[in-house]
Amino acid sequence: MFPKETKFLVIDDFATMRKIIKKVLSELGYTNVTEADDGATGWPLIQQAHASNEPFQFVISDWNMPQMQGIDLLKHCRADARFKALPFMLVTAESEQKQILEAAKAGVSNYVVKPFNSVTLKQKLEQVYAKVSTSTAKAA
Amino acid sequence: MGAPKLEGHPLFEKKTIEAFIKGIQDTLGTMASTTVKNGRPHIENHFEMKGDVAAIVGLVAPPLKGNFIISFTKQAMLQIYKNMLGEEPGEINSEVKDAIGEIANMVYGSSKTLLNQDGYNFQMALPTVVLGEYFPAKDHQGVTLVIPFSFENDQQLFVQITVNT
Repeated sequence: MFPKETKFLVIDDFATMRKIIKKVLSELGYTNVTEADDGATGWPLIQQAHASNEPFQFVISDWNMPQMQGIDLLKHCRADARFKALPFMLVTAESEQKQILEAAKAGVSNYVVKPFNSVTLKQKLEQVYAKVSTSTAKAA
Repeated sequence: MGAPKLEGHPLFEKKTIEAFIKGIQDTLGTMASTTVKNGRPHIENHFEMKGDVAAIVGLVAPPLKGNFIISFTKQAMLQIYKNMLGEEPGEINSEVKDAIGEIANMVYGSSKTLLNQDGYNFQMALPTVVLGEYFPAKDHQGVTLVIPFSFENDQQLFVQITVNT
């Protein structure tokens, strides 16, 4: 699993969902968590953190938000060489095939459908870790 | 006054009602560990907000248009908030209102997924939260589908569906 000092960015326009995700992350031992309330706020934070040599190591973002949606933030990240491999998980109330395909095409690392419980979120994080470990091993 | 004219409206069909019931039960069961029982869905001739605090989502499933309203009595919402986050704010503050919006978002999203698998074309929308009286636009004030729900100690919440006439 990801080391406990992993730096997370949690993006959701609802403070309740940010609080729930932070609570689950905390239960899993992850306390280095920054919050943003939509993609338009999150994107500069991602760039600033990278520029200051303290990059985010995992982004968990809602899909359906005002200003910049989660899927658009994901596309911004994947279009930028610095964030092509940044683990990025979308949390969404939508679980229709076309959305899942759009997210996969855009390069999402994993996808969590609301409502979810802590067990599901933990499993999704583990799946991303497994993918990251495999691609790191292949690159080595 | 005669029977409501929209009783056969697509938004009032059995599968629509079942999708919203499942959406409520899944959302509150998963996120708040709360078992919610539905009462008898029924149609009322005029819209009247049932709970003290509500979230409203505009329903758009071309050519259908309406409103999805989830409302809670004050005590019911405070209990759900406690069950979700382990906190007891004691009043309907901005954090509790935010939670109602997120609950509406999840219920609508999961119901929408079920309905769209059944051939509808519901689109995602952002919820609006209101405290106290709510007066929808005039074309949403008529016939309303009401689904009552209850959980521990007879706490109550309601789903109301209005259609654009």
